[in-house]
Amino acid sequence: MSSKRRTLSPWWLLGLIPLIALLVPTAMRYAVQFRAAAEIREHLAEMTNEGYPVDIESLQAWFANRSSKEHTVDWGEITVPMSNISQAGFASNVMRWDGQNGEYRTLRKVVTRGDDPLVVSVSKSLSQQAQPIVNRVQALLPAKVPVWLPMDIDVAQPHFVPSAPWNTNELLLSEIAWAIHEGEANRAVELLKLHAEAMAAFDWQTTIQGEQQRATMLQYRNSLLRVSLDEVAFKQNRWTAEQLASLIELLDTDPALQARWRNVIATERAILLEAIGANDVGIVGKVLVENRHDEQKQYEDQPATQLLAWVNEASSVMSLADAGYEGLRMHTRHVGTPLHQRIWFQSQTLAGILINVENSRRLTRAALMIKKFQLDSGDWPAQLSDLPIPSSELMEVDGPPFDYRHEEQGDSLMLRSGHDLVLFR
Amino acid sequence: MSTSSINRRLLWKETRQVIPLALSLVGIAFLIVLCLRLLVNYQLSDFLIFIQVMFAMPPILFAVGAGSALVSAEKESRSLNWLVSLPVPTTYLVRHQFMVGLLGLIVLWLGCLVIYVLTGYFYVNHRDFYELGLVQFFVVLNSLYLLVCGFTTAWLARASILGLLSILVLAVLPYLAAFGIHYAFVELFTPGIHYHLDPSAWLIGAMLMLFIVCIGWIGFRSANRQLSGQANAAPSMRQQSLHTSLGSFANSIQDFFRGDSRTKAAPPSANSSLLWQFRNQNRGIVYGLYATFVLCMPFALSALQGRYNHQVVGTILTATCLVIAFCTLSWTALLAFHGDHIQDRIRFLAVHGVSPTRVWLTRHVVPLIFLVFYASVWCAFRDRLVMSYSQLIIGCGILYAVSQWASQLIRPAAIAALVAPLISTFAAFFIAGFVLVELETPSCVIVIALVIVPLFATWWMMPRWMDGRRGWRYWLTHFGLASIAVLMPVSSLLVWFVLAPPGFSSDERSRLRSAASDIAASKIAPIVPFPSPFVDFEPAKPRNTIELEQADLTKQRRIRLETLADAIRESGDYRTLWIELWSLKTVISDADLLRIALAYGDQDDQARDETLREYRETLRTLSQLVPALRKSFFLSQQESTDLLEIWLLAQVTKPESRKLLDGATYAEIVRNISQTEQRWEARRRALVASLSDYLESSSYNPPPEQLNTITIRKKPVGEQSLVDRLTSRRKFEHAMKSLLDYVDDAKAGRDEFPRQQLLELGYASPGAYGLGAAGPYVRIDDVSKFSLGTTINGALAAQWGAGWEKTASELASTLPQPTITESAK
Repeated sequence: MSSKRRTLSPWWLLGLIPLIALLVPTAMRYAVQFRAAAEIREHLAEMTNEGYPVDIESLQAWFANRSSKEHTVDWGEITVPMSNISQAGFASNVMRWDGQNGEYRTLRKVVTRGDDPLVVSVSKSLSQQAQPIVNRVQALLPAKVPVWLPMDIDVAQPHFVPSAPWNTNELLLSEIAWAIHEGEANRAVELLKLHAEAMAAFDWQTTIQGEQQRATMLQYRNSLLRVSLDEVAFKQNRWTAEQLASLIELLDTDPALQARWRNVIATERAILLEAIGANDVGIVGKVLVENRHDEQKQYEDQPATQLLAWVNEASSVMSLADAGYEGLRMHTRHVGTPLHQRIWFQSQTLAGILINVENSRRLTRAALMIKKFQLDSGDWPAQLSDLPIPSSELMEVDGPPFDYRHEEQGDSLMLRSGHDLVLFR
Repeated sequence: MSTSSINRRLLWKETRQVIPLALSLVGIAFLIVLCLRLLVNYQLSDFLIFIQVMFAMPPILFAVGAGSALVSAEKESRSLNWLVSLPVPTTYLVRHQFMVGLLGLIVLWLGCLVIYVLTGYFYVNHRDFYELGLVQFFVVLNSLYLLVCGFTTAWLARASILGLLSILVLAVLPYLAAFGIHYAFVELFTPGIHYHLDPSAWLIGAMLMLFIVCIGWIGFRSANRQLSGQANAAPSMRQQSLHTSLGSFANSIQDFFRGDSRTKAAPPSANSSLLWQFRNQNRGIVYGLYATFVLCMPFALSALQGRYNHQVVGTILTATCLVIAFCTLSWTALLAFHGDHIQDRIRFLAVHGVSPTRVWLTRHVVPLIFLVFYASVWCAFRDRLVMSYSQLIIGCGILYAVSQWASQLIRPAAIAALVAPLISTFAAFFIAGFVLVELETPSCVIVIALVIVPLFATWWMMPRWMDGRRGWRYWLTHFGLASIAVLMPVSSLLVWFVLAPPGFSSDERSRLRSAASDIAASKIAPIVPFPSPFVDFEPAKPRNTIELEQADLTKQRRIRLETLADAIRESGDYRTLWIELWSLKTVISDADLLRIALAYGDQDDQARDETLREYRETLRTLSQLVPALRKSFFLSQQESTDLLEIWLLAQVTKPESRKLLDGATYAEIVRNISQTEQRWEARRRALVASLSDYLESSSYNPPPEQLNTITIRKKPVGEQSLVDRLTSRRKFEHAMKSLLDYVDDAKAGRDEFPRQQLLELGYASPGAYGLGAAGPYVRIDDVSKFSLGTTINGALAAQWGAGWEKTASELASTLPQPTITESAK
């Protein structure tokens, strides 16, 4: 009887190896999908427990149910008139678009060319005409009712931005600049408080682009304060220590950006979940976007965890900001979610936005504190450490300490940070 | 027999042998061009380039297959032995076969040149023509090299299919040599940075010439040896020794590769015997294909990735490897039935009563293993193909199924080896891709039609194929199944057509046109355009004055109101008014600003009275604008008028604005905004006029993007599938019919707004028609929710039949009826 010597046939190997090569990635792929499905369920449960909406429809209802219907209409009514006043400002050449900062430089000429009679008369005319609307805004804001501006959210184009906050910002900053120019310190402080309230009124209906603009508005407000106070308050002593103290208090109580961004994250998470078809997860255990939206075919085959990584990292950025902004520098997550790939603001980072606003706040606050110190004690502080501010706030979050120096020649006193300069005398 | 007679007869015989190959290749090129012309909407220039590329394929493929068709076929049918036994010089045989192949190639290239010149005449500029000409020169030279390789491998190989596959290896040799020389002499030894990674065209050309001579000489020598009987002569001692040592090595390899089949004590089962027979019969070719695929894949992936930055890898080489790697599956599938064509081996199984199903199954095992291997490799790199997992697997299945069908249908190996990759690629990429993307056919239908049906066809026809009964029933059955395979995916288009709602019938079209011509006859013309809301300042004025005037909103407001009142007056009873939406918004916001000034301004009594007078005057003027705009037959004007009416209604219903109005102003506004019948009539007139314009302007698919400046289509034409393009017109017309019916019903007092039909058009968000949280603020049922900043949406018929109309009518009913004297006035 012949021995049954068996050799492993390559025919079977040829079949077996590719079969394994085909099946193992498939199995791994499904394992990743199921893990992602579990993670999405966690996200959904977490959001439901926190009372956040989990899809676009409930998101809209969530906005609508928490707002005042009357205020929705009232703000809608003054949006177009506010916009007309801005247009007049542009047409009469006292407002202009600043390409570098990507922002409208509201009544900048009032600050930089305050001695030009034409600029003064145009600004005065605009301020007088805007007065009723400012009063109307003043009447609306103390109600402290959240404002919802109804807009259909399209998952394919989730970068909607209501125009009312921006129009309000333009109007109020123009008025603030004019009040500072006219030496009406109390009115300026009052308008600054109104501006802060206006920013907070739209606080909870936020999208990334809207909130990114809001951050820029705060940055610009701080910049406007430094530049306009430079002449009027710092050199001419037309502001009292109390008025400066109220401004410092306003800067200290700035609505925390982190809290607003948490709302943004919740909103964007609902939009992301809707986009990746999270509501189908429970039914088919599938986390792929299979031709759900034509514009998002690129997400096909991407596990949802990858898409929701934005949410996780954005939350960790907020936590770091809560803990004093330290460690934010290392975060390079773009501000836009994966749905915003083709949008211009995608190039900015979330941490960068927070850092810029905080830097601008710290510099403005330090400048006001220096002037207040001089008004209180009659002498300028010899160095920044004389100010009652922690040393960690006398420097940029991601940069060197502020440069505060007395120039021997010319007797000038300056505070410098990067390209920003405040001259006290 | 005289020399000329021999020449003539040999030429006649060889020509008859290559004609089917040439005709089938040209036929397929025609078929593909025809299919694409019918199904894809190419631009003319793209299509002409495509024709040029398609008609360059037959000569190239002919060059590959001619050797097999002329030499291998004769070797397999043993007619070559018969020819050698005739008193014909052997050099005549070799020479005539090659001459006929060369002549066929020249004829096909001349045909290609004619098409090239004809198509080039229409569009190619001179520079392109020159560059293409240079490329064509090397393609022709390359085809000559392939022809020589084809003859050489045909003479060297025992089986035609083996000879064909050997061409693949030889095809890349000149390029490898050119790249090697280029790399050695240019990249390595020449100092400096080199940016041109491909060898020059002349170096490749020189290598091609060199290899034509070398390979040709080998082929000619081999042919002469075989025909003169030297091939069968006893080998020399040295050859015997080499053969013995190679043989022992080959045996040890074969032992390993044969596996357990030789060592089993028990007789093998029928299945394993058939499997053994198949795998041993095709062993060399299968391993060759595995090796070819594995060797070509890295280059192919490099080509797919578009990275040609590796120093040795060049564009021509990678592109060639990509094509070869891609075709290996088709060639493996060909083995399923082609191995048994050779010398009618299948007849042996048929005569011995082996079950056709058993044969069919065992023929597929080995190629299917390759299919799994092939699919797994492509799946691993699917990112570079920009295809999903499932699409890739379905594509591989189609390539395999269609190729195995070709292997049963096409008997000549050369034709099958060239045609199978072409038609399977066409089926996988064009038919499947087209029906998936353009016709939105479900994947399962594609799998049934292009994978299951071809497999079923070969299984169903197995008994006839084994018996050699290839009569008309055999061919008709195949034709029928092929028709099913092609028509089944396309039939989804019919389903879409059946399911799509009906559009306008010809009767309805003619009625619409007739109604539109009635409107045109009563057109109130010319239009009075409302000028820009911003004052047209004289440029001659000093800059200071202009800037001050630009900031003076009060002055601008007064000028705007005056201009508007003049325009309304000028329009009278017989002329329409045209006002842009943003202009209208500006005038409305003027009034809003006045109202806010009255409520929140710090004015003295005199200024307040003046503002109040202005406010009332603005409202009266705006209310007079309503009937003026309702005369317009433009849909966009009707939509703007709706917004104006709602705003006016808000002014007369909201307490804070109502208290600012005197009785006369209030009555005038209410009267102007409560003309329900005129409103519906105006909408109907505008809709009919717009639809008539649409019917005139769009006799083709799809419908235009706008209907009288109102967007009616969201997706650009380029992003729409064929189904979209074909059905969107019917969907649109159906929605418009519903809207027209609704207008008639609403005039008669019934009210069923065709929300669903309008939403299905896909251009407007649900909120535009009152759905969702934003809905009540966009489609106004309750006037208190209207505001200029949020309500404007721009969707067609967004405010038609909403609740505000009823409110307006109710307000009108509370007004005192005009006395006879007033009516007379």
